[in-house]
Amino acid sequence: MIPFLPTPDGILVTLEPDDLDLLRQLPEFLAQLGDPGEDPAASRLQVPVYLDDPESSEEWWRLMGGELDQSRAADRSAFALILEAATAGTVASIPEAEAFLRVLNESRLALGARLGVEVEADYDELPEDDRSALDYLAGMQGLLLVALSVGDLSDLDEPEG
Amino acid sequence: MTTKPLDAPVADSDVKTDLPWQVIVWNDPVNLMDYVVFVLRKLFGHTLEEATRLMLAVHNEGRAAVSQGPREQAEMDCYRLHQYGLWATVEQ
Repeated sequence: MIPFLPTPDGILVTLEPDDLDLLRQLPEFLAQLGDPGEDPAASRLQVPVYLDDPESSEEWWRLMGGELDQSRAADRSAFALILEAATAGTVASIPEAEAFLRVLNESRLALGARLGVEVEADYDELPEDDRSALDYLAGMQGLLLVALSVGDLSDLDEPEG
Repeated sequence: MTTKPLDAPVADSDVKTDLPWQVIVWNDPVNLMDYVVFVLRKLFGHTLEEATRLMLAVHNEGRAAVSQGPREQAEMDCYRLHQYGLWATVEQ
């Protein structure tokens, strides 16, 4: 079964029970991250915006952080709603599918940070179970990216010749 | 053309004031290359070629400037990149 298929109305999402069991854990995982500084996953999702200016960074997060949290929470809700209907297959609009994509990505970022992946070489050192969890999510994300990119084919440049 | 005398130049203690603000995307070991290309095309309307060039600059050189402009715009672009989980910072 192909989990993500482009249709004229959006992306047809159809997921196997095993996939659903795994993916259902993600919104809660992301909603329950600790505080930045204590939880590497939270730190990764709240990086400094001004590297050489901590005051401006704090100001940015003070002004934008709440909105970003709300945006991420809305993505998690969209993700959960799609999962609820994905056994029989459900068409997600493009914005909904993009929310789904962001949750998959955010989950990989958070998980990678928790597992201590800071440089690419760290990934190769991971125990197999941890690496396969990241790979699983990357596979899902890749399939959704392919489905979302099909609509782009029409605006690719014509080959010169 | 006005005959009004020009205003005296205002002393400017910060020579960087007129420089545009840049949004930098940093390499990280988790984000997928295809995803970075997708996000850059989505947010900035880049062609596939330009988005791929920027993604490879991030990957190979560790960072790349993906947009520039007034500070408010740079901060908003940074926000949109953070929504997609890219590691973005603002600098002048």
